[in-house]
Amino acid sequence: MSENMGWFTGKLVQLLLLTFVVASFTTMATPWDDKDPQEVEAILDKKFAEGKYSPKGADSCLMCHRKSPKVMALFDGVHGSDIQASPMADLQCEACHGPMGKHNRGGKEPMITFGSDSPVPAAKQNSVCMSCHNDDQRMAWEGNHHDNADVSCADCHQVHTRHDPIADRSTEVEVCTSCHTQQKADINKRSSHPLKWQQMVCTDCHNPHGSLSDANLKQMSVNENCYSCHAEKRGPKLWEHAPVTDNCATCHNPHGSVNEAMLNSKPPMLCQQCHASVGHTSNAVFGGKPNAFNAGQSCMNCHSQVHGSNHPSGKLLQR
Amino acid sequence: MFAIHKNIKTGQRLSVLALAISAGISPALADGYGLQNANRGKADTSKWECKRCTSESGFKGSIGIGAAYNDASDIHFGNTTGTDTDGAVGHLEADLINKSESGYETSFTANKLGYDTGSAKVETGMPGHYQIALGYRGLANYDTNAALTPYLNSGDDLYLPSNWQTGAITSQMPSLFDDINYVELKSQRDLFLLDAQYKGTFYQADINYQHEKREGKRVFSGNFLTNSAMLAEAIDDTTDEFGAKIYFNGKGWLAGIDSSFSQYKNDHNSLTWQNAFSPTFGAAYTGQSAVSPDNKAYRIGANAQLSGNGHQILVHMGLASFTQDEAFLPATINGPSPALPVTNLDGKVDTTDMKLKYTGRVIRGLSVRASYDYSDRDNKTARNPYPQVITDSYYAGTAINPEYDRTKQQAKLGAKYRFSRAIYLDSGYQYDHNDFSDLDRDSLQQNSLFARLSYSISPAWSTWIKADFSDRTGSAYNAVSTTNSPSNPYLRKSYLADRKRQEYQLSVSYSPTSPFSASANVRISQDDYDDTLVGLTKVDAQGYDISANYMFSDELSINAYLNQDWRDSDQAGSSNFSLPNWYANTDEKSTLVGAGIDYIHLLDKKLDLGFDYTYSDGQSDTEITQGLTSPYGDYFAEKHNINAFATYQLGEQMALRFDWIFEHYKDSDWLNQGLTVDSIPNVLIFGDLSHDYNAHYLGLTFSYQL
Repeated sequence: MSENMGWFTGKLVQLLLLTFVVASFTTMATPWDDKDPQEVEAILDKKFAEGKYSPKGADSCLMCHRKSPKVMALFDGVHGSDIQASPMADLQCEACHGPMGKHNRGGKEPMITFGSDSPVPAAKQNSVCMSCHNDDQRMAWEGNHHDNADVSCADCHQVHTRHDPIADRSTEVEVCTSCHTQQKADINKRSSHPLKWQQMVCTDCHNPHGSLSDANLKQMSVNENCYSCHAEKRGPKLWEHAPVTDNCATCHNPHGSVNEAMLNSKPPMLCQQCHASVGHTSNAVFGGKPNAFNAGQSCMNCHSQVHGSNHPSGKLLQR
Repeated sequence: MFAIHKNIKTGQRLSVLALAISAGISPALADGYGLQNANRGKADTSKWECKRCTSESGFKGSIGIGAAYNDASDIHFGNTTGTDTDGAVGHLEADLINKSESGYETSFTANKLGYDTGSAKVETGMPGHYQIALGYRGLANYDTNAALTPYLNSGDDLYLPSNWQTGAITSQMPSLFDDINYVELKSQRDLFLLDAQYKGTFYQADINYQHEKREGKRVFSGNFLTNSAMLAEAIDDTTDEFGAKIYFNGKGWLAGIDSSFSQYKNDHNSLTWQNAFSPTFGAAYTGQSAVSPDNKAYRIGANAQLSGNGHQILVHMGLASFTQDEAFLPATINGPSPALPVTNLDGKVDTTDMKLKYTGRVIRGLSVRASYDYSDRDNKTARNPYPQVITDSYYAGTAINPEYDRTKQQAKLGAKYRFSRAIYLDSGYQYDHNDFSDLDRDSLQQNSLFARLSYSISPAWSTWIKADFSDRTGSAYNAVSTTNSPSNPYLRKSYLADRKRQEYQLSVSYSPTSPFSASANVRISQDDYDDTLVGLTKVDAQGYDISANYMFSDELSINAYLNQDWRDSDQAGSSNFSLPNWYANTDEKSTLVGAGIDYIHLLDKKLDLGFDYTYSDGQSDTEITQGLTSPYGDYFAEKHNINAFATYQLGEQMALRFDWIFEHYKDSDWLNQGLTVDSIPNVLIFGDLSHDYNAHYLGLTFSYQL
């Protein structure tokens, strides 16, 4: 225990040193830190506070912007319709892009824009979206992984369209794996959930807007997440396999594995990471001549009920 | 044209509470451009007519029918194409929407409908107000059509041909090679969904129902003492799930209740199979195994969010119950079965979840988060002594079912500090505490730290580096005494063992305004089970990936990527119930390479072309050392995949799409590579299940634009 604490303290010191190094070089001049975005942000803050909205709403904006197909595509989707709670039913274009102010006088005065190229910080961009979309699906957005990583809503979503591409199952996985590259590698491995060809998509299990669970899972625990499709493993069964009731990810990598059945290791090695009792489980299982331990189903040749058994005589998970 | 809606002021009591909480924590630090903060004082909307807003009503969209040739000589290719039909196959595509003047919308979408993995959805309603959706979705998994077995399926039974003659070992089963037939191991899920949403001015409600039917076959093994046979177990089950939720919201608060009920029903009550071997002793001519029992799950949860002035509190409380009362099978079907203490398990597991989370901006540039999680699993199933007739062969006394109760607690503290617009540091500490029953350890604790530094070097270049450390330890390790044979005292089960974990990641991306963009990531992790002598001792993993994209023009773009990762694990064992005397080392390696090109608007904007190629290769090399070193055989999977399409616009409304998918797939698994059904004397196996195929899919789809 004390040795563990010593190791842990060491890592804490390393972390503090890292923090110190970071703090030191932020005091240096930052020539890369172009001042323009900051100035733009300050202007936008001022404009937003002043609240000088246009005299004719969307008509004022469309005086110039109606020639843009991208702008006009807004009206194909819900954000451009006058349905309840749509921006067009409120402050129209300026609901999202902020008060017009003097923007219409030559277009040089900035408006609130969205996406990775925008000078507006992600959190401020998102404050616009979240002011309408704070519902049960997004209630845990604050402080979730994507919020902390400065991901803006517009990095994934488009509103000037009838079809938001990220909402299309055929493109979702590609968008997510453009950042989550480890998962991109995993879904191409020998065994994986069928994400590669979009039978399943990331949002079948995860809520990218944050959740109350680890890894932004849609259910409260890893196992409940798995049970939502694998209800047969839910039980309760008479003879449970302890790690199965605790965490499916103890043995499986749900994104994919070079091993069959998305297992973290191949049996018999996987089983022998926990089972080493008197007798056959303690022996080294060599390759070569096929036998009941190194071929067929390996340990599962006899202990086939690794997810638990409801047979009265099933304690050894053989029935 | 559009009216301005007024904010609805409801739930004032909660709003006041939210304000009180936020005001009580710190001064106001809220910022952003949220609509609630808009300064509407000078907004004169009386002349906002929105004459230029265009909203088209009527039918829009496209519908298409397709026909394809699919090579399914190895059904594994179906995992790529979505069908295992060998030869011609047809499908329907649709993306239709009808909008009325009043704003009422009805849409119909279909994707690959007609294939095993097809889907379709009809939605109707007033978007933003109420909507009803009806959907279908298919999922399929194709394992192999090369498994060989003498068994035939009938209901719950797997039986052998009437002329079957048993043998003491597989090579002594005289009619084995005459009686074996190919069996397909695959599964198909059909999901039917119904969803209705209603959104009021200060509340929204949703009810949904899903029916899922699953059919197919999967591998199972039935054994008698030291003999075993691989069996194709039939899958025929359904899951019905009903969910309902209602949420209310006001200024600074959101609260609601989520509930669900799920019922699993298995059409099979047992799996009964004939013994292909001559019984070692007794009259063990037939074996019977339990299958997944019917079960039910109930969940109800309440959530509340209070926010204001840049602070937010989230509270969750949830209760769930899992029940099962399937009638028990007898302890054995060979001879008289000992009496069971009860006729069914009447199993019940209750879980309780609680969460409290705070996020807020403390000072400008610094945001903090803190949370506490509590999760409890309480197995309320009665514990009884059950007679154990081992593999329907001999009585071995009684055993009491364990409960495996568990309580998890987790506390997290995190902070994100922005040094400048370009640099921020996100760091956190996490403490996990787990209490168990019936395990080798009563409790596990883990301390974790992470830090992530993100730095936008220039508008084009950005990078981040992340380090994670965690240290897991726990109470005294006392091997459970309820096992039939005791565990080696030096064994530490991997999921309960002390573990030090380190993970490092570096990411660099280049994304200028020019046509070229690229990114690279490197990751390293190490799990050190420092207190383990027998069991898993170490896992090292490394990986990197690079990707690049070049847009020659709006019409032509290319992309390429490369991912590689390695996972090496070491474990130790002891064949003499003492210190380790054998070691296993497994080295896994996988590679993914891809390249693609998109060339659109060719031939006077009539032709679009797309071509994607991926190559993936994964392998696992295992070596066992006990004095001598002995490697296992080949274990790999290699795939080349080409996915190409061409879309040609025949006229303003008609288009033709051609799809070509090619796949070369080859794998090997030392569990069955090169083996025949009788290669193992005491195990009747499916034979060699490896794949090696070249397969093509050629499709033509005609679509009509409305």
